Amino acid sequence: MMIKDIFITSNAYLIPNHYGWKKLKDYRLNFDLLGNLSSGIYKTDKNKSLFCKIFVNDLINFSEKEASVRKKIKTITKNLVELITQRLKNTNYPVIVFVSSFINQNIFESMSKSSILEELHQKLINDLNKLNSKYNNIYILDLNKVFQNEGFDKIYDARNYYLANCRLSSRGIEILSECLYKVLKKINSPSKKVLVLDCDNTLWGGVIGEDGIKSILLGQDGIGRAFLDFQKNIKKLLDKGVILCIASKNNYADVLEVFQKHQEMQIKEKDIILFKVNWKEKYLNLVEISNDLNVGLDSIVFWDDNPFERQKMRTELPDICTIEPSKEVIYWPEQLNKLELFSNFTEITEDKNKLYQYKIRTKFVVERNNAQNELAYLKKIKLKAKKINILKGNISRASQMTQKTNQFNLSTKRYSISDIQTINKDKKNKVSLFKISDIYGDHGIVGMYILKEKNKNSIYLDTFLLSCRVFGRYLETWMLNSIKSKYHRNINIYAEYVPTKKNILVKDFLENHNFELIKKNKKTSLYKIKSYNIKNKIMKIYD
Amino acid sequence: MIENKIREALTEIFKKQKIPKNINNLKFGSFKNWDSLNHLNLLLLIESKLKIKFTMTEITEIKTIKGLLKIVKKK
Repeated sequence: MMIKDIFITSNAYLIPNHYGWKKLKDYRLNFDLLGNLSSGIYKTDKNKSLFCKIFVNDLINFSEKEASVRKKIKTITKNLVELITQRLKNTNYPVIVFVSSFINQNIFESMSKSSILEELHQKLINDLNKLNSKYNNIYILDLNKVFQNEGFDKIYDARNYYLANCRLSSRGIEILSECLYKVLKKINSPSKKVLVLDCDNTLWGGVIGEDGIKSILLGQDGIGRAFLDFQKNIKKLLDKGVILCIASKNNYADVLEVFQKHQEMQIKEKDIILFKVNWKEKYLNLVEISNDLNVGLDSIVFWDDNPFERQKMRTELPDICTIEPSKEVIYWPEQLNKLELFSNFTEITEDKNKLYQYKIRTKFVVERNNAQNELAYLKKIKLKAKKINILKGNISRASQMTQKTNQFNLSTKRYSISDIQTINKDKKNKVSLFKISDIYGDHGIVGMYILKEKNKNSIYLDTFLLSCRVFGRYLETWMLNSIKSKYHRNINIYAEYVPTKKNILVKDFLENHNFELIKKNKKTSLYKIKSYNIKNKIMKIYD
Repeated sequence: MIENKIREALTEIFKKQKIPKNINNLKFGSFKNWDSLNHLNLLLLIESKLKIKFTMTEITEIKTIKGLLKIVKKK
C-alpha cells in the first residue's frame, strides 16, 4: 500500500502551510491541531495514516506542585498508550509517533535530580516501544535524539510559542518534517540490497598496482585508521543482510592479494559475493552484478572515490544509487553509518542467511550453465520442495516477499504484515508458502501464492511470486501444480498478469502453463485455466 | 534585492494569486486567503529568505508590505 494521505495531530500547534513542510510536498497533509490528542487520534479516518507529535512539556500542568505532578506520570503515559493502542487495533495504516521534550534545567538542577519531563519522556518512549512487538504499523521516534544534534536552542522558539502556540522554531518544523519524510519514504519503498565498492582509495589509501601491498594505507595512524573504520562499518552491513561486491579497475591478482594477505583488512574474501576486477567500464560490471545476482539496478548502491567514475555511472545507469562520498576519507565511516538506504524498521531472520544464499545461487548458475542437459542436471541436485502454511513465525517473511519480489511476480501486489493477517483470517482465502532445498543448501522460504475463492466454481490467484535466488529450478511449475492438484477439475482458476517495468520474465508464464487469455487491456491480462494437465517431465526433477 | 525576495515569498505563499508589479501597497487582507495563518507563514518565510529574525513585537506590528520593508531595511 502506497501512503499518500497523512493526518497530523499534536498536543501543541505546528503551523500548517509553513515552508518547513515543503519536504512533504508529495503527500497530502491534513492538520488537526486543536491541541487535543485524544480527539485528534480518535477522529482520524481509519484508512489514513496518522502522524502524532507529542510534546511532553504540554502533557504536564506545571501550576501544580512537583510531587503531585510526579504521581501523574504513570497515568499520563497509560492514557496515551491506550489511546494509541485503540487506534492500532482498528487500522492497518501506519501510526507514526514522534515524541520530544524541551528540558530546561540549570546545571545544578541537572546535578541534583532528574527532571519530571525527562522521566515522563523516557517512560513514554519505553511504553510506546513495547507496542512495536505487537503491532507492525507503529513507528516511534524519540525526536530528542535528532534535535540534540541541532541543539535545542535552535529547535525551540519562545517567540513562536507566545505568538502562535508553536513550540518549534522554523528550523524545528523543517527537521520534524524531514524526519517524517524519511520514515514515510522507508514505509513506501523497500531498502537497498547490494553495496558495490571500489578498491584503490576507497577500501584502502593508495593504488595497489603501483604502491604494492606494503605501502597502501590501511590501519596505520591517521588516514589509514579512517579506511580501517570505514571497512569495519561496511562489515556491520553484512549483519543486516547487505551483499557486498567489488568493482575495481585493477589486476585481479593484486586485489586478491590484499584481501588474502593484508593483516588489517576487515573485509575478507569470503564476505565478497562477486569480484568484478578488470579493466572494463564499471557500469558494464554493475550490469553484470545485477544479472548475476538477479537484483534490480535500483537495489544497488555504488561507492567510489573517483568523481569521474561516479559521473559516468550516473549517466549510464541512473537507477543505481551512486553515493557522493565526502571529500575527506575521515568522514566516510560516519557517512556510511548514517546512510539510511540499507536500514529497515525491523530485522527479519531470513536476512541474516541471505549472504550465504546468494553465494550458493552464484554457484548454481555457473554449474547449470555448464551442464549439457538441463533437466538431467536438475534431477541430480536433489531438489526438494515443500508447501507450508502461514504461521506467526513466517508472516513477516511473507509480507517481505510481496514487498521485495519484482521479477517473478504476477500481480506485484504489496502487502504489509497486517494485510496478510487480514487476508489469512478470511476462510475463503488461502495463503501458502514454499520452501526448497537441494545439494547447494537450504534456500528457506522462497515462494508464495494467495488464492481467493470468488464463488463455488471459481477461484482467483491473487498473488503468485518466487524469489529470484531460486530461479531456474522450475519451482514455479511445482507450485502451480500444487494448486492444480488441490482443486477439482470443474473449478475455474483465474489468474492475472499485471505488467510492471520489472516482471517481463513472467509475461508468458500463464500461457506456458495451460492458462488461456480471456481479457486484456493495457494494465492487465486476465487468464483462465484451460487444462489441469501437469508437466510430468518437470515434476520428475523433484524428489 | 530585498523586494525580490519578498516577492518570491509572496508568490510561494499565495500560489494562486497574481502578484502586482508594485508590491508596496499590498497588506494583510489584500488577497482572500491572506489570513492570519498565511500572514505568519509569509513573515516566517521572509525570515528564512533574508536570514533575519523578527521580534515578537515586530511580527504583531507588521500588517503591510510597506511596514515590512521599513523594518527589514533597518536590520
